[in-house]
Amino acid sequence: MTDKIPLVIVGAGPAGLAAAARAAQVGVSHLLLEAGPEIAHTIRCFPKGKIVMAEPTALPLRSSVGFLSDSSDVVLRRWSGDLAASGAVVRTNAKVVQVAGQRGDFSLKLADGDSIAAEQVIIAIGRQGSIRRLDVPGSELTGVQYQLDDPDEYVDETIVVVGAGDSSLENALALTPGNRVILVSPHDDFINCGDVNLGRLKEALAADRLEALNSARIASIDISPESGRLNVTLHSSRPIERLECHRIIARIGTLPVRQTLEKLGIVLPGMASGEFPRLSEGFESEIPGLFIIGALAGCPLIKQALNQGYEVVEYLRGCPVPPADDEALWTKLNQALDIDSVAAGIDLVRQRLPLLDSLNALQLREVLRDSEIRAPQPGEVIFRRNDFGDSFFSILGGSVSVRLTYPDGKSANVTLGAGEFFGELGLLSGRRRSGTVISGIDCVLVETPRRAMLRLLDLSPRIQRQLDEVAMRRALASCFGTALPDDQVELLVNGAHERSYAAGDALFRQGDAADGLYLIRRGSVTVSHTVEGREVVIAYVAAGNYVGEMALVSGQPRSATVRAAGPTEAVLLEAVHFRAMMERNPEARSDIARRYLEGLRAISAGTGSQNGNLVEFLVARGGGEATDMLLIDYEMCIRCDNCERACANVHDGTSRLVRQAGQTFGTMHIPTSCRHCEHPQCMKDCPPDAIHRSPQGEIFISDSCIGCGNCQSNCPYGVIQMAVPQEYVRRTLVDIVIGRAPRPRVRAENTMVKAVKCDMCRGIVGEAACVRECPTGAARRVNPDEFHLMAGI
Amino acid sequence: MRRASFLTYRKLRYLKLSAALLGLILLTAWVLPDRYGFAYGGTLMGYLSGTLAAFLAGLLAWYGIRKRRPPRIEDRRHLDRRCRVETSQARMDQNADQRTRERRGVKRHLNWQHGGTLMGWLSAHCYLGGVLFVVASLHSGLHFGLNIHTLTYVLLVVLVASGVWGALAYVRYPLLISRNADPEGTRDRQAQLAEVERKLRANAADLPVELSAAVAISNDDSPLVFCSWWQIFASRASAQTDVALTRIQSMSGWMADAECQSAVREVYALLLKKQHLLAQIADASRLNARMRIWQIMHGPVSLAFVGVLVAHVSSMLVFW
Ligand SMILES: Cc1cc2nc3c(=O)[nH]c(=O)nc-3n(C[C@H](O)[C@H](O)[C@H](O)COP(=O)(O)OP(=O)(O)OC[C@H]3O[C@@H](n4cnc5c(N)ncnc54)[C@H](O)[C@@H]3O)c2cc1C
Ligand code: SF4
Ligand code: SF4
Repeated sequence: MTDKIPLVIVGAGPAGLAAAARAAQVGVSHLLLEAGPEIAHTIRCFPKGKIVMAEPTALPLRSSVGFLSDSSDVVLRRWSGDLAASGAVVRTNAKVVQVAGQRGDFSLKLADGDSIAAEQVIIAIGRQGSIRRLDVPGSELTGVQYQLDDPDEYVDETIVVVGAGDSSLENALALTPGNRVILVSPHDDFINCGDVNLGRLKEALAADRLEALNSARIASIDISPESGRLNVTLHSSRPIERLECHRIIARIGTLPVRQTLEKLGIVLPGMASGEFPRLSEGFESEIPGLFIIGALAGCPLIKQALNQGYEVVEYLRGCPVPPADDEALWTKLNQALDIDSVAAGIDLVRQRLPLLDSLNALQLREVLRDSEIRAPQPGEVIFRRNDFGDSFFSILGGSVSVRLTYPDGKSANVTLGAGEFFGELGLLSGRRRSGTVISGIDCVLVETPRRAMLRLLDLSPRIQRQLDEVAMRRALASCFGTALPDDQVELLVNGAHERSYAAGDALFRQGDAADGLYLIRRGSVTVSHTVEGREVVIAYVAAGNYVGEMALVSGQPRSATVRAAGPTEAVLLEAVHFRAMMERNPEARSDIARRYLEGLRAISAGTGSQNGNLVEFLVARGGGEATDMLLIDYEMCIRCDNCERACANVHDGTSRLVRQAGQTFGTMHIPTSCRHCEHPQCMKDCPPDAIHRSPQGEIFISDSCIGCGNCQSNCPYGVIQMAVPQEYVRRTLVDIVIGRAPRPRVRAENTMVKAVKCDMCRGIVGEAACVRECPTGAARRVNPDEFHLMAGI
Repeated sequence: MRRASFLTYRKLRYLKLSAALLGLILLTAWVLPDRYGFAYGGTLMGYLSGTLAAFLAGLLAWYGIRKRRPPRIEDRRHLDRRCRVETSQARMDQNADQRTRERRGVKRHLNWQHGGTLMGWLSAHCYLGGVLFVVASLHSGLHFGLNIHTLTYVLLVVLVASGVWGALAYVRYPLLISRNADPEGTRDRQAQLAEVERKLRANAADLPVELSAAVAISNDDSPLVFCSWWQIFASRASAQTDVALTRIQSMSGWMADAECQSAVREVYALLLKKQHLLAQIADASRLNARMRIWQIMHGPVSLAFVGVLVAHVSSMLVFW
């Protein structure tokens, strides 16, 4: 073992190499360890020819290595050059397998058996390396692989593909020509993959091109002595099965951050699975002397990673720099608040907003960085009822007036003052705003985008609780209208329980005893009636409404089954409390009586019809969480594909919908096209946060997309494509006469592949192009509230 | 909730409009003193109806262009660039806001700004086509001869007839097509068929010569060689497969050998499946062809019609 190195940096991605370059520049003796043969392994693995984007453009770069948007080759060459020029000490082919100890006394083990002693350690290994591996005996044998580079490399082999997601499915399908492919999924269905892939899977299964084993799991792998091939033992619903194959390809996702760290022997007690580590202002983890930066610290972009590499070294050597975003934050805060420093501004925010006071300065800073501070004029409309909400508002000063409209048609005004918040209902349910908010005098608001807010809720259970409680009160008030006095709301809240359900779970079943009233806060449910042993859907109920009142009114067992149409959260109000409330409150009673009769009518109308199945079909295909869905009535559709052409015409030459793909039920067809989900999965993992929801509800991708493809794989309905924008040259009269098709043309200056999807023709006056250009009226856009109309129930 | 089709668009708006227009024309013809002539090109009424007919013909022809060339939309990408800023701005820009507010409700009323909906155009196209026919007949005064004027009229008749066929086909065939299609659509059937054929080839290789020769007969059936227009008149798509099946039925040598027997059973089942698939595929493309065949007439004839119409009108102007 050699002498202790003052600073060891693990991982030479953007974060790690920026740290090493800075350390070299300021003379901190250090060592940069990289597992791969060259630095920046992740960037080297980007798809060929990909342009690496320097997002967010507004963030200044403060690193000792340069970075501008360019092709990955250029960027990498620049990094290698800058790193060498700075004199950083790099050791490649040095995979760290264990990190132990604490400040002043770390020891790192390398894969080749070497060990290194260090005083301080920076972990910057990113997330791409943590591909989840099979954890069974024999998983280290050659022939077990986690990646498929070129499917054409393999012919006449028996290949087992493991996984239930899109990547495993795509791999399996790519291998089918020429190989015997067996797809092993741990679930009883391919729950994690998109409709398009699912369709292709079904096709392949029907044609016997592929075999699939559901609910199966590999128990062990060994080498068959006779043939020298791999011998797989499977556990499934059937008795133990053995399979001989040439190769196993496992595509079972990446590890959560916690597991990635634990694999290195780093255990952070304060960190729950699925969270990012808690770090100090200087990126120090709970283990003193151990720093975490880059993708592992929850920063998804290269520029941020580079900045963090620089900042952590400055902090380490005792000259902490204000974060790179200080200036931006200052302009933001200064224009709305009377303060003399960013720190003072942050303190002020903490004082004024009790909801946020449990956060530390770093977290608060992050929230403010993502938020906007607005000082609207008195009387200005902040948002309107029925807008789609993409943000959450806290009142920093002054007041706002909220105009609520209740289901009974009455409306009321409520005034909210400093320290209170609004916009949480839309945030939680993903639905339209339930009221109109108008600014009062001296109003100052913090507008936090949905994603930042969700991250915050994830981070702090306390904020989650506070928010939930207020939200529940407001939801109750909005369900039962003006009639409910505060003390009764209080009573109901005290006897309320929160429940959450996965898609398909039953809230209650026909014939159950009535346990209470369910208020749906998020997601939606279907109500179905059992006829001749079969469930027939008779209604669809969206968030913001309640179900289960019928049995409470009649005193009979449940007359219908209610199931979650997608992930759903509901509040159960216990029957006793509910009955007490009704007794004391004639107005609420009459409202519920009205609903009861409507329910009776729906049951008698619905059970006689077959159309419930259509609702069920739509709900199963994402209709339950959709806000707007394109449907084509095949009874009218003349298959002219004008909808696709019209879409391409207004959208850079790439149609966002594929008419022929998708599923059909009876004569109702769902083409492959975005559903504009209430809680869009596609937004989940977009590094530059390029996916947004507009006030009109459409989900769209902005220009800051870096083309990473995360959204494409996250969308469960396979509606996102990666495409180069094209110029869609309109046909001339001559073209039309001689019948020449339109010719899309790639613009020379813009060849970058980006994610594209339906944006509901936002910004275009009039209806969506697909609907407008359908000659027969077969194409239409519906939202789930209209399903029952469409199905005629 | 069945939405209106192109024929019932907006509660028959264009039927009503056409009826009103027709009423007006007939009324004018009736009111005008006799000396202006009931119709016929040379009279005042003739000129009136001729002008109207030319105008209608232009409008109808424009549908063909409108359909193939949707309206130009300005480049909107700059909108997305700074979306957060824009979102707040949109919120403040109350005018724009109110217009887009009830998206499906209000926006529909704004369709006219981009040349209306294609469905509206089609609806108008159908009914105004009828009006054109009546007006042109009046205009002709039913005087026919071997000249360009009559040719114009004849072409118009062809157009109207094929158009009526087309309208009926568009109403009738979509439903039949979707009834025929299995849930996964025709493409899958092609894939299934290819798979069946592959298996047939593989299995037939192991059979005795005369049997595999019988199976091979079915190779001549492949729907890929049919052009879909031809389907309308085609004989049974599975003709050769039928022959292969009967041929196998007529043989009995294979019964003795157990192994051979099971192989034949498999091949026979595959042939039956092929027969079924072929029939379905043929049905699908036949229906499709029937839905579209009138277009063969309608499109080219409309081009010819426009040309002849121009000649007809200019000859009138020249000889005047
Ligand atoms: C397809 C794709 C496209 C993207 N496009 C862009 C873009 O255009 N612009 C942008 O800003 N961001 C983009 N990103 C995100 C960007 O890649 C990450 O934000 C960035 O790479 C994170 O940097 P990092 O240093 O934290 O980790 P990484 O870049 O992942 O670097 C980690 C390094 O550590 C090494 N390593 C791992 N384990 C060990 C170990 N045990 N011992 C030693 N070394 C180890 C790895 O080999 C690797 O070199 C994209 C991501 C993907 C997947
Ligand atoms: S793209 Fe996003 S919003 Fe659209 S269907 Fe997919 S997940 Fe839902
Ligand atoms: S929009 Fe999609 S492809 Fe573009 S950066 Fe976001 S997740 Fe990646």
